[in-house]
Amino acid sequence: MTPRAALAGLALLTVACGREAEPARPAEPVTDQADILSPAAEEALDETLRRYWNQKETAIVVATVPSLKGESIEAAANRMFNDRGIGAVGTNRGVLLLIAPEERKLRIEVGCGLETVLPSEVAAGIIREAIKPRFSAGDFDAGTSAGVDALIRRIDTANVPAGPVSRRCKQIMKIAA
Amino acid sequence: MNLTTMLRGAFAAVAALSLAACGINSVPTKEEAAKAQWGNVESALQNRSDKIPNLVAVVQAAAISEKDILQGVIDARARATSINITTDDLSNPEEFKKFSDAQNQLTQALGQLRTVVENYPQLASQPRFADLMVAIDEANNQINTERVRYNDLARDYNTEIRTFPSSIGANIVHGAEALQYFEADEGAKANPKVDMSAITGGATPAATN
Repeated sequence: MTPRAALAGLALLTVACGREAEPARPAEPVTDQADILSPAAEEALDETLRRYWNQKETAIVVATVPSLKGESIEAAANRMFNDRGIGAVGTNRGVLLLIAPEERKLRIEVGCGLETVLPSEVAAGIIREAIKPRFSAGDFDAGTSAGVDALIRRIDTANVPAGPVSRRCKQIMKIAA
Repeated sequence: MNLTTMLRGAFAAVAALSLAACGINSVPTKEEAAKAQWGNVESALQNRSDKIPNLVAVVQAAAISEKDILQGVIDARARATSINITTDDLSNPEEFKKFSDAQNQLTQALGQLRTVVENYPQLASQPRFADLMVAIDEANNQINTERVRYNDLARDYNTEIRTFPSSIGANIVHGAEALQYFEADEGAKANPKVDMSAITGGATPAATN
């Protein structure tokens, strides 16, 4: 083995220890990969969500996927949320509304900075009252925008200081602070 | 200094660098990471445990006739709470299994209770009960998430201590022992999903939030 080959081998070894590439982050707040939203509804949501981000630095993201590929909606939503890094670093005020029409599942994934504001029973209530009836009637446009409106209303009017609840989130917020 | 010596020096420098970057020093780091994550697993389990007394009270008030099922939840919770393990026990297969079995039994007991409650529409439709069920589901989901993360970190550490070059120092310097994993899918199997919403009507159940 020539010294050069040995060096190259070691360089490879060092590279293999490095981090993997970060997944892509779409720039739009609405990614309708399952194509269930009309262009008009998508545009309206896009505008609402961009404005809300600019006003409150709170990121609400809507995503639809054609298939969960065998993954649970909980795992898929959690992974997508973290891959995209929804919400600003430090405040972690982010919400993901993930819709999988093929599997008939949906989930509201809540960022660490909003755990107090959107606890599970509140999120379930939004799904039950704002989204589900409209989806059941076949109106994805109305259900999605009603869900987004309900999320915004809740975040704006919640009578609790925004912050983490779970141990993991408390740690994350502490590190970010 | 001729070219060969220089190359040899460079070789040594790179070797030292790569050893420092992903070698022996990462053994305790990865062990720390896995054991720190264990705290999140325990916290998620505790969170579920904390919600059960309220659930039991609501179901008791509804006077269901399957009292043994409810008692099963109470007993399983008591058992799960009584088994505590330290992070040192994470590499002890028996202790780890005892702990995770007790938690899985609690998950199963909760699943049975849920099935039984479906026969009591009045109870199931109580907002307070529905909220508690959602909270328990979310707690279960959080447990699964934290367990998967723990497994990933434990696997990361276990791979590290068995892989050259860390394996050399892992055994000699650190006396490293492999960490135990939660068995795959056990939580998911024992954890039937609630049928709380159907997105587009029809019969297929969907998840809650």
